Amino acid sequence: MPIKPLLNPFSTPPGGLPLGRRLLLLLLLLPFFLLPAQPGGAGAAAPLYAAAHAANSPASETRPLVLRLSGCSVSRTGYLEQLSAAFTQRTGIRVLLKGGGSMTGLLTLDAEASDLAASCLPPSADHVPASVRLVPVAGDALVFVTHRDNPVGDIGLEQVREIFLGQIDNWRQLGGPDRPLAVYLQYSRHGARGSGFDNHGIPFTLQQQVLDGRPIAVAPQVFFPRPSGGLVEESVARDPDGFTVSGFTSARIRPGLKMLAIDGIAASKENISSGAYPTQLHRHLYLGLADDAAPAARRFLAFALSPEGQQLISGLGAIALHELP
Amino acid sequence: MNHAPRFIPLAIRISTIVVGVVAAIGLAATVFLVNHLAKDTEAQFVQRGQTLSLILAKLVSEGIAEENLDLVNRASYIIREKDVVQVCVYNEFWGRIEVYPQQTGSVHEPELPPTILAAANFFASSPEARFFYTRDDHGPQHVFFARVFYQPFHDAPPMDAGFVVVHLSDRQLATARREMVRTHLATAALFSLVTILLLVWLLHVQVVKPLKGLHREMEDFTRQGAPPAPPPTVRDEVGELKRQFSEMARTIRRRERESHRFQQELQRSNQELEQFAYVASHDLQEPLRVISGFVQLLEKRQGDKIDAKGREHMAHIVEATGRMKELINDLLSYSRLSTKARPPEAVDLNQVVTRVEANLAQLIAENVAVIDCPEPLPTVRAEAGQMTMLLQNLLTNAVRYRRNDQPPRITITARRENGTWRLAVADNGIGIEQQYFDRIFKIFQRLHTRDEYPGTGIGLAICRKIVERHRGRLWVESTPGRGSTFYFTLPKGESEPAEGSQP
Repeated sequence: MPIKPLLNPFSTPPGGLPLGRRLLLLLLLLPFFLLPAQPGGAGAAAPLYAAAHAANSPASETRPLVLRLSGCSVSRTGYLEQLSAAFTQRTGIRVLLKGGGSMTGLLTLDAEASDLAASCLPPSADHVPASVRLVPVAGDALVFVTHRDNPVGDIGLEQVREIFLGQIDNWRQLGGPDRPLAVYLQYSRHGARGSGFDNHGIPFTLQQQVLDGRPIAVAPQVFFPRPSGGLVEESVARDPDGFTVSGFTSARIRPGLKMLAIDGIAASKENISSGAYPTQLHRHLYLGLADDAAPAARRFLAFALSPEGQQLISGLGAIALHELP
Repeated sequence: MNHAPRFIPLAIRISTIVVGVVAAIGLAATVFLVNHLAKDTEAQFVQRGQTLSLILAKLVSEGIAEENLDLVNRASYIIREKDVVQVCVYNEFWGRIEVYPQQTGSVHEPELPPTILAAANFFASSPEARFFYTRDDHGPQHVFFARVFYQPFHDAPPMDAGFVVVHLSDRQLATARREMVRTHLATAALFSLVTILLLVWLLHVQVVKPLKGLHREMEDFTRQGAPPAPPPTVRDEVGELKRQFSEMARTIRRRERESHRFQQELQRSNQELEQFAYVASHDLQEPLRVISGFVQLLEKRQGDKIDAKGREHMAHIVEATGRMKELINDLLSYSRLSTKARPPEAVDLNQVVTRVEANLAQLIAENVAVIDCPEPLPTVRAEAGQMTMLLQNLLTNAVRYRRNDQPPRITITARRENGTWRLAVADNGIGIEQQYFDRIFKIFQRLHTRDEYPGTGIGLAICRKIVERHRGRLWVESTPGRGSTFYFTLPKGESEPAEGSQP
């Protein structure tokens, strides 16, 4: 959608009154030196500024029937949008859905800036805030992802380890063209864990379940940090040399991505459900509730766990809780 | 030497004052205005940065919330603005989502610059804040931070989604400022110039031109006596001045005519008087001679028939006629000083003294007088005969009014004084009381009887008239019993023409 008329009123640079008007102004002002002059551009700027201000002003927290849900990008993209729509249809409660990463969701929930957090950080992660209770809502599996046009279609877990431990930095080593890898991965400078990968669900799971607890150490020249999983996927979808690890739930529907098979086994719902896809990549997606969660948040969680909710998740192509072996 | 003040035309003086005053006012006004508008420019600039950052926040909020880079890329609308140096989009935890212009090959994200930390602290401490503005310490940039709120439907509570940062180039501000200053300086200069020209022209037409006209008229009047123009119809100070000048000129003209008439009358009257005195004294001698002759004849023919008493009476008549003759002669010579005037010439006073000594040889010898000139006397421009008369009268008096106990001693000295010669004739005679210093110079006025000292009492009057005719002054200083000194001044030198001898 084009958004062009917004900027027009501001295309006059500061102090850019036409000479004629300036001369006139000066002539008019000369006898009244001691009176304050009118600032030239303020009048033009005021209405839009006021509009912007009004649109951005925080409203009262007690607005009824709106549920603020933020967090895990995989969940948000994979099933939360449709689940929220169904929830709204059923209950009339509108859901304000925002991605940004598991840790973002958990921290905003902790700060009471949201009512419900989506997370793919497991409760076992010791930096999950104590006030938050994580409940698994769906199944998921780590998948390794490249650009849709990348010729490589298959990868082994050993190669994955080598990539994330910094030993592979070229597609040639994976059987592709002689081009450097571009490894996109969540990395934050200000999380609960300070800077690093631990703040994010996917790198955390990767470390725990694939790298045997060893820290991620992608070769610096091919490492591109992104603040959240959604942006990681977006970036890979725009970079033919891109490579990352993500969740099956969102990667399967993100346009422009290709999920790599693991040792010949494609990342598909059937293979994951059947256990053919390596089970060490399996994981869960959670919803987090604060101790004093609002009734609407509890209703949402109940709806997600209900047979109807689970069926909806499964129907989307994502993996319901019972579908994960 | 007193030097006249330099002539500075009024027009130049007025122009200088006008230029100075207008330039000073113009400069002060410009400085004030520019200073004022510079603040405006800065305020506009900040306003623009804030507006841009707020717009950017709106543009990218959906993109950040939905993690959609296509939507985040709306930020490129902002980067197209020419004064925008850099645009950054961050998530809630200052994780950088995108930076514009997009940087290729970026590796690790750099450490947070201090301004971002400052902004983080700023927003943390005031959660209501919409934007934050700082000057970047790293370069000439102004950095505007704004919070991004996500609000997908209009009654939704806004959720924090992230931050945007807009770097505006200082150059734009500097250019705007410079342009503004230049424009205003040029305008002020033009305005001042026009004002100066207008004022100078007005002052010239209103003040300088009338004054110059008046000056020309005065000059014409002074030099050629041309009559001043009729008084002007416009009434102002210059008009008044002109009117007064015109009146004054008429008065002067009238006075001049009157004075001229008086002068002519005076001259005629003087001439008549002198003529009268001369004629009278000349014609008075004739009957006197007849009386004297007939008395002598009577004495010779009828002498034996007249008794002693009668002879005594006749002797009185003879003596009276003799005295009358003397008086008439003196009066005649007094009036001749004017009527028989001769042109002045260079006169050596030493020669004059010698001549007078010769004339008075008998008197000097009788009194055993000494006349002394310690230094040579100067040459003056005067009438030679009158100089002789002057010195002869003074020396005669000096010898005649002597003290009995010692012989007369007379010293003649000369001294330069203010372009004239001052001569002094000092004696050791009887001296004069101070109260008579004026009286002795009046005609026929005497301090002593004829029996004590001979004379008619006209000598000093003649002396004074001679000196005054030479534009000099004659006066006396004296101590009774010690002597008197007569001073007189005479015009100096042979070179300059003596003004004193003109009739």
